[in-house]
Amino acid sequence: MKLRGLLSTAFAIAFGLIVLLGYFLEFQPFYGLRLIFVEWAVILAGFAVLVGLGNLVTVHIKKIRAREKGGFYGLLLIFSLLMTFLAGLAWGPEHPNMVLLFRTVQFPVEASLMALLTVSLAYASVRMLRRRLNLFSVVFLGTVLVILLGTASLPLLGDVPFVGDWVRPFVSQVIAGAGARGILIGVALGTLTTGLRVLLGADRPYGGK
Amino acid sequence: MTTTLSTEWISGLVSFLLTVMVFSYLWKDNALFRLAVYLFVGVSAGYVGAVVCRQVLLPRLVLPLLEGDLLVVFPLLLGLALLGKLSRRTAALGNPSLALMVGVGAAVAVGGAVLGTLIPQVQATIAHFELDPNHSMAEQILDASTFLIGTVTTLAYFHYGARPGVQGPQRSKLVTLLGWVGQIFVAITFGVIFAGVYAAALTALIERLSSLRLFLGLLF
Amino acid sequence: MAEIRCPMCGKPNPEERETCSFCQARLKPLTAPPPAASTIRAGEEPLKKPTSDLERAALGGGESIPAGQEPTKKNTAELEQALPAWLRSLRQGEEDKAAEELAAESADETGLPLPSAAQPAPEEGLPDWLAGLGAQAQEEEEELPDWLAGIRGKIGAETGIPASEEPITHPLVGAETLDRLEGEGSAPPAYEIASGRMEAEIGGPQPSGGEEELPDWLSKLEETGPAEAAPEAAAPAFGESLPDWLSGAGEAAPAEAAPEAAAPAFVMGAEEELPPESAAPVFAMETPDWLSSLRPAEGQTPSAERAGESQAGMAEEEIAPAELPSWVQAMRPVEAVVSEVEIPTTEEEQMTESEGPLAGLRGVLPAVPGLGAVRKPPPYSIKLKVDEAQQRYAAYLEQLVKRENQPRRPTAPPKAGAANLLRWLIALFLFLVVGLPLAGGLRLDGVNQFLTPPDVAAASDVVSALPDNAPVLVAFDYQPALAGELEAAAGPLMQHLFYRGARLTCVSTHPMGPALAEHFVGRLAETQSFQPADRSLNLGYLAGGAAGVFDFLLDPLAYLPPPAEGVPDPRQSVPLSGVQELSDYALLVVLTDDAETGRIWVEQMTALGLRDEVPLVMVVSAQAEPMMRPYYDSHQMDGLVSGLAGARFYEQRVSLPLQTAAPYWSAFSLGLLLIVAILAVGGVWNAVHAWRSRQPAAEEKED
Repeated sequence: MKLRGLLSTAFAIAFGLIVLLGYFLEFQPFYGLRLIFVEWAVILAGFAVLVGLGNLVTVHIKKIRAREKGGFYGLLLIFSLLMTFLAGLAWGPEHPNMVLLFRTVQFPVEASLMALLTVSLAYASVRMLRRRLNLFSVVFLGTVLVILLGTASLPLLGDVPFVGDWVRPFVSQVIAGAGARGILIGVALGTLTTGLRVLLGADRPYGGK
Repeated sequence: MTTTLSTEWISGLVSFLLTVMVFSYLWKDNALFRLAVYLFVGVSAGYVGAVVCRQVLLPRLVLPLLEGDLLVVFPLLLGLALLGKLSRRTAALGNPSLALMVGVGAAVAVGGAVLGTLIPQVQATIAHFELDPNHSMAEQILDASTFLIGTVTTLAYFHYGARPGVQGPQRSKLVTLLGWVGQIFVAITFGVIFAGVYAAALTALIERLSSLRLFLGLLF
Repeated sequence: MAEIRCPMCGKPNPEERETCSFCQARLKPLTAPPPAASTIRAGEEPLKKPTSDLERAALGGGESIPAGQEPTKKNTAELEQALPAWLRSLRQGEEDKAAEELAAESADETGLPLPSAAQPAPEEGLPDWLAGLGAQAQEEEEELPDWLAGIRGKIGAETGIPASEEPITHPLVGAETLDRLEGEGSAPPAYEIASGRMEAEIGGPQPSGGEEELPDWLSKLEETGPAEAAPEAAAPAFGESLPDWLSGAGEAAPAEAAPEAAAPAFVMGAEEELPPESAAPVFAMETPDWLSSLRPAEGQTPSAERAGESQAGMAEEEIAPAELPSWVQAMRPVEAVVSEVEIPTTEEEQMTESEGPLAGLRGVLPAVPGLGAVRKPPPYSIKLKVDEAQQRYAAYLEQLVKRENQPRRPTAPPKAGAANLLRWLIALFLFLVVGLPLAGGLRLDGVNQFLTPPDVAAASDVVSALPDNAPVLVAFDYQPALAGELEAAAGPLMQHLFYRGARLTCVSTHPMGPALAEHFVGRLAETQSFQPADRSLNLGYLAGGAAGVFDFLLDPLAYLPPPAEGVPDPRQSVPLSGVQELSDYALLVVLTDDAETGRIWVEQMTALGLRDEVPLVMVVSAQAEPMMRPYYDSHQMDGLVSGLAGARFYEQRVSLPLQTAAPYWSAFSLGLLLIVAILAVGGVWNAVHAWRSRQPAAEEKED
């Protein structure tokens, strides 16, 4: 392993173990150290966001230079990015002008994209049984119908009796709750094993190889 | 007042137009839709960059450095090295920085997963069997049994361990059976999640249509 | 007249002399007395016997040499002339004697006509009787599937071996060879060696007659051998899972093939691959009678070869080169010939000189002149080694390839026009059904007859129990996409908080969160007539995900904005009055659309032991509710409001001036009902369609 790889692995193991031990040991030096280390990680996370932005700009600049199709959109993206970035730096993100920009552009576009999902999901759900007809698909779709029906109110009648006050709560809170608990425990176990592999140096996703 | 009104009006108009441009995707993918989306991505990215600089790097790195706090020199150097990831030639410089982030992140995730999910959720599954005499015993037992069976079988469904067999690695029959039952629970859970996604998207649609109606109400 | 030179003084002597006429040294070593019948007397011509007789004996009679092979030199007299006369006579005598003894002994034990000599190892160059294998294997290869032949050809190309040389390693070769040799009455020992080595090369033995024909002890070997450590040990089971292209091999081998012959081959294959610890118990087993009766074969198994130098030497004596046909000898490389000639090493094997100047000395004259301890070059197989797992994978691959070649019933993709039409219809109905109530045409609210869910009731109870003007921490962890839902869902609770006089501190782990917080709090401030800055403080973005939450929970004041000129010190602001650490907050409210983010907050609050100090209430999107509910059930949070439905219950429980959920409720309900109708009708329609399309496919399969 190269020295740089060794350094990376040593960083991951040393900083990670000290932070992890802080959860379990009431040892004052650990407490202070882990705060410092986490603080550093937070700062680095900020740098990582900047790296991501830089990469986004680089990709679109290359697109524009290569005169690829859609270069105009790339130009628009870079222009709006730089303008917003500079305005945000100057005023601060909490400035009323920035909030107005957010309400004018980001909020409507993103909410509209989410709204489009209603049509896409409905279409996909309708087609689902045609593509895959088996027990689990039927159970899945039946559950969706029960939950949606139990959530809605009928015109002039109000909430749907039995489905709304018994079936839906039982399905969503007991059966789905049990399934969700199993998934959560599975996720926790997966996090535990993956995290320990990183902390023991078995996995080096940071490029240590 | 006039200025505020006109600003609000322009903001409402732009918001209205952008909403309509995005909805035009329902007809087909078109230039207006792309225009709105690229603009949105650019503004979002710029806003995120400004937030990071103003609310993370400035207060936690730059200002302490200006005040002479040498403790932040180390993350500063690591952060500058991380910027090396922007180029392929210098990408390796950022590995130690990435390693620190990954190591700390893994430690926080492991601590949270064990103490915040694994132990409490297992305890909660057991605690369902602490029956309350003031409630229906049959209902409590049904709920507790369902929770236990659902949790165990769902875990079995995600269990990929296998033993070597004549025809390759094979799951034991018990785990296969439990996994089959768990698949039912998983299907129901995903069905509930899907219904939730649908409800969330429908609420977003209602909010957008409501805002369109409000703006049109301003015009007419 | 032939002369021999004295090894001591170098002077010529007549051939018939036993001792040198000059120095009295012994001219002929005393290794073994030459039989009288084969003694070459003075004046006789050296041997001119055609050795084809020996060849026939080796093969058990019948055909001398398989077709297609040109015998090299059946008359080895010319070659033998290069040897000293005494050695020629000695050799001939041994050949005859050994052949007779072996033939008599083996014929008694096995009932089969036996050769007078063992066969050379196959890796030393194929003798004539084996030479036909190549051609036969080539024929077999033609029966292989193309894809496998291609693979083998490729391997041959990569290793520098032409594919035509491969058949020696083909599993069929072993079976066919055995079959043919059996038919020819070949000797079991030679047969065992050849088949065993070939099977060892392919990584496992070839069952000739199925597992039933195996002796018990071999079955036990299969059971005891760990599959991972020694896959070859489980080879008998291999017969059960033979891929198609291999199962033919098992059938090709005759069922009546002598198990006595096949079994040792199995042993060899298995033994070579077994680790020592697993091999030991195998050989500790009781040897069956039929195996123990095959004494000649025992000496030729690899285990005997490894048993030590002396034992190996004795075993090699049984396949001594003197017993080989001369034409085979001539074909072999010099080194190989030399290496098989054993030099007596023990004192008992060496004769003591009784006459001449060497009298009393032991082993002075070598039994065979000019020989040293030359080792046979080890055979390195460059042939394809295929173990059981690889063969199984190859079978799977073959099945996959076959399946790919089978014509599939094309599933008709939805036509673009029809798909678009369906999408447009759904969109049209949705917009109409959702838009009409928003336009004020229809109201469905006010008929909620159900009890408030306990999670919503608990959330409102927690807020109601807050002391006046309590500091509350609110995390705005959702995206703008779901701001509509979250603002509607959290509207009642947030109003309730302001109604209780709560002082808010806002944070977010989402970069858009600070703007969303400004937006939301600004809207509420408009309706409740207060200045946002008086009642809330936005701490901004917490970078780093879980690490950021961890850091903030341990030291929230570290996230205060830096003091600036003209801006009041945030530490002195109303929202932070009395707050030094997280436990000073009266409540933590998390607004999130993402179960992952919600999980981080709950986990870190629990892991850091803050749950007992600060109540936690969550307002989540309907999509995050299923994954957050277990945390409510496990009492890791004190209240849960999910989506528009939860907000509706909250509004009904707490009387508030501004309703955020109710205006949406009618449109929401109608939209849900429409979707239920679309899913039900469309789902049934498509299920019937899918079921019908399956019927012809099933019928085709049956046909």
